[in-house]
Order: sequence, then C-alpha cells, then structure tokens
Amino acid sequence: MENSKELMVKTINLKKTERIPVAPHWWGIYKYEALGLDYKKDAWKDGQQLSEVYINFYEKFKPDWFHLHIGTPKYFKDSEIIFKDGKYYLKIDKKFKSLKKEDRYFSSNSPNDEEIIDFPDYLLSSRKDKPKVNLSSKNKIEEFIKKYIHLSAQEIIEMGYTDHFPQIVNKYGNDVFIAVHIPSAICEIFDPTTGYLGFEQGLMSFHDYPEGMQYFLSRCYEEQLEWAKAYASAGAHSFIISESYISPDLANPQFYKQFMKHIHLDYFTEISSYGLIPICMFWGDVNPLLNDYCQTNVKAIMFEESKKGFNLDIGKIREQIGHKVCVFGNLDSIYLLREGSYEEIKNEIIRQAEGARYNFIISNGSPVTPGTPQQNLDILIKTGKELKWK
Amino acid sequence: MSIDEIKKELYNNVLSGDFELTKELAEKAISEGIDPLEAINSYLIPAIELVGEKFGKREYFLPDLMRSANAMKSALNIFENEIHKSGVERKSLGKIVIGTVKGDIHEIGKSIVAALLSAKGFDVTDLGIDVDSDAFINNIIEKNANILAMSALLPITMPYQGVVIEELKKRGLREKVRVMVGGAPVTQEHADKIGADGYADNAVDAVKLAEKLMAK
Repeated sequence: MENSKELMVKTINLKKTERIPVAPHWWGIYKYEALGLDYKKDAWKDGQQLSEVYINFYEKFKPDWFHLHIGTPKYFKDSEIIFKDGKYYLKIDKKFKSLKKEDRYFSSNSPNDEEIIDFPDYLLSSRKDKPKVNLSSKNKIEEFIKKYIHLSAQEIIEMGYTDHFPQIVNKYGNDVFIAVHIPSAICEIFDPTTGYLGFEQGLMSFHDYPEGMQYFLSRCYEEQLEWAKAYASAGAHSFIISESYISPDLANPQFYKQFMKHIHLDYFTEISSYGLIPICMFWGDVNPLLNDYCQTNVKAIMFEESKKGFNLDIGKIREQIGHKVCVFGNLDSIYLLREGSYEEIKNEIIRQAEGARYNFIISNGSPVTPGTPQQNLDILIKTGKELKWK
Repeated sequence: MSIDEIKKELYNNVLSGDFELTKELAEKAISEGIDPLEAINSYLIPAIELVGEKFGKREYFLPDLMRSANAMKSALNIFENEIHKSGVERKSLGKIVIGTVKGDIHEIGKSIVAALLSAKGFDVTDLGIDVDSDAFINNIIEKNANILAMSALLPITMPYQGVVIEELKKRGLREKVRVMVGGAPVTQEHADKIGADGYADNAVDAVKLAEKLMAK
C-alpha cells in the first residue's frame, strides 16, 4: 500500500494511485487554534518549538502532507514576550542582536532594533519603513537587492529559517510529503504595506518603467531561489509559491504573458533541478491564463475557491487544461468547510474528484479558517482518504 | 486647439489615463475660459464613469483604473481650485468615511471603492486599514459624514463591521449615518445580520449603492 509521500509524488507526476491524496491547506493560523494555542503568543516559537506545533497538528488529523510555512528566525528563541496596550511585543534577547541585524528578510519595526512590535502582524508590517526600490537603472536595482533582499541559502539556514525541518524530516521524511509554502517574489514586491514597490506603484511600474520592472522581477525570482536551495538542503520535498496581485481579475492577462511567464518557466525548471517539486498557488481568477500556467514546468497548481466575480470549478478547469498538470481541489474554506454539514462536505469532495478525473489532490481553496469545527476537517480528511478512483 | 477639442481631449485622456496631458489640458481649459464646473460634470465624470463600467466588464483592469483615476484627480484639483477662487463650492454628493476594519490589513478593494466614490463626486475620507470603532466614529462626527463604508477581507475580521454598528447605536449615532459594507467574504446575508443599510458586490455597485443611500 502506498504511503502518503508516495501517493502525493505519484499523483503530482500524473501517475495513477490506489486512492486520492488529501492535502488540506493548513498553512495559516488554524493549527494553533486546533491545538488550543494562542497564535498571537505561540507564533513566536523558534524552529524546534514550531516543528512540535506542526507534528502535533499532523498527528491529530493525519493529512497526506506537511504544509509548512517559511519558519522563524533563531532570534525569536528566548526573547521576552511583553503584552501592553492590547499588543504583543517581542524583546530580542541581547545575544541575538547582531544576528537580527543581518536578517534582510524582516527588519525591526522599532527604532532601537530590539523590539518587534505587534507580532504576528509584525510579519506583515516589519518592512514598511524600508525605502521603495528605484527602477530607473540596473545599478540602483542591484544596490537595493544587495542591501535589502539578498540572503544566500547558507545565511538563510544560519538565520534559523529552516530549523522547523529537522525533527519533521527525521520522523516523517520517508512517509509523508513535506512541502514548504512561501509568498512569491511578486508578493514581496506588491504587498500594499511592505512591498518593495507597493501595490499601486507596482502596477503602475509595468506602464512607467517596463524595462526596470522586468529586470527587477527577474532578479527577485533569482534571489528567491536561495530560499528554495535552503529548504531543499533541509529535506523539503516540494517548494510552493503563492502568486497574487497580478491575477487576471486585477491586471491585464497580457502582463503575465509579457513579464512573468518566461520568468516562471526558468524559475520552476531551476527548482526542479534542486530535487524539489515546484507547485504554484495562483490566487484570483486564473481562468484566462490556465494554459499559460501549464507551460511553465510547474508540476501542480493550487487554486482558491470561487469568489465574487469569478468561478473556479475543478471540472471546468480540467476540461480546459486536460491532464497536463496535477490540480489541487478548492473546497470553500468558509461556507463549506467552516459552516457545511457532513453531507455537504462529502458531496463536494466527490463532485470535485469526479470533475478532476485523476491527477487530483483533495484540498481546500484557502487556509483552514479559524472557527472551523475540528470535526469538519476530520470529515474532509477521512472522507477524502476513503475515496478511490473508479 | 479649439475649445471643443480641449473638452474632447480631456475626456479622452482621462479614459486613456494620461496624467500629464490631462493636467495640461485642464490648465489650458482654464486659460481658455471653459467653465470648470461644466468641465467636471460634462467631461471628467462621464469619462471616469465609463472607466468604471469598462472595469466592471473587464475591458479595463486595475492599472487602467488607477491611471484614469490619477489623471482625473490631476484635472479635478485644478478645476476645483478655480471654482473655489470664484467663491462657489462644488456640490458634493455626500460625505463618506471609509476604511478596512480592525485586524485586517487588506486595502486593495477598499481603495478601489474609495477612488471610484471620490471620482463620482463624493467627499471621501479614507482611514486606511486596521481601523477601530473609535477612529471610525470620531471621523464620522468630525466630518459630519452621511455614510460609513467598511471593508473586511477576512472571515475573522468581518464580524467587526457589526461591532462598529453596535458602537454607533450605543453612542446614539446609528440613525444619523448610513452604513454600507463589502469585502470578499461579505454577503447580503451578513449585512442584514449585522444591521447594515447596504451591501455591494463590487466597486462599481458600491458607488451605485452610495448614491441610493444618499437618496433615502
């Protein structure tokens, strides 16, 4: 009988399996809630403590994968947590002060460089004081990357961002699929609060500085390969990126074809060469670009659930792209998984699997939402595991 | 360039989103004696309305919308200054306080709605993201707002729209301000449940809703 890892790898490689793998999207804060933890406090954990959160959640629900996030830096360890004015603060232990200064991924959001204010929202707000990149010349772009973005794989490992891997890999590496899911370079550039350009300026830059934008995008994806190398050496099986902000419901699909498609092709090809399976979560309305995504060497595609203004039906997606790539399901995380009944969840899993007709992984369209009854996640996983291809 | 050509080009350049040219045309319009109020009502607003329609039909995308909104604002500032100099005030369609609720840092949808409302002629105060009920209410009082518009992108933050409505009731302000809500997970059912006056499915409909609420 195939184990979870074999099931996932075979399915992603478009091979038939005994049953349909079940890999719910458990990337977000739900894991803390499910374990009775307070994410506002417990997300401070260092890599080793973090791996225990993942392991305990895995043991509770037994999905077919570990869906890991970027991890936490070493300097979170032993830092004092202070609660004042309704917000949590992390006071960096003095012994890590120099390490903290070297971290170009997150920067401190307090003037004295010792406190991190309002964690975990800090993760999103920490970079808001960084300057925006100047796209007028390659030299300026390179200076910005050197100062604010570049971390080598070795530095990423030394910083502690892979410290949640060893325990998980040692215990489950042969049996369970281990994927790390990080925001794409586009997200790093376009995030409205923290992005290197911000959302509005980012979109306008396609018009105003097309050459600079093309160069910067290409370099940011190159830089992100260092993260893939770090996770490959830590024992990940797959590297997932979330693509957002330039989906066809927001930006003209021509932007993707002109600026991004060739970058994705090189990027996913390179990731495969590290021994990692490249998976991409395309947020937003993917319909106009589905065939383009399939030409990028990505091995599996994740989609969000249908939203206002666009419908993402797995059966119709399959009809459009055939069996060129593996697809993840997109059960509605709010109105079905959080609020649906046993029958509703089961019926939708079956409906999606029948629509996908092989090369399909049962999943939900966005992270499991806080407030979701644990029994509903159980229904998703247990019902899914009982399904076999006809 | 004739007066008719200036008017036509104002309209066309808002449509194409040319910031610099629209600004130049607005200055030229003033020097040629074109009535600024007529320029706004007959050329800028129809142009931005068409942009909104095209955005709704996905003929235009967000960058096009942003460029057009910026082009329009560049001309609008010039015309409004001129109107102000003459001692007349441009009639506002209503005062709106808008923001993304506490705990939620998503602002794209909210910003699109704010841009379209502003372009349409509403006086918009955008409080940004992560806005708590005190900030909403203080601004409603300070600006004497007619409408409160709240956005939430996350299922965990959308109940806060109801918290703000309850706070408005507690302070005796609920009858003085109309409340509209929106955001990806927000539905009409949610709007009814929390006692909002209106819900819109998208940015274009949000503008129509605001006009409808003002007419009540």
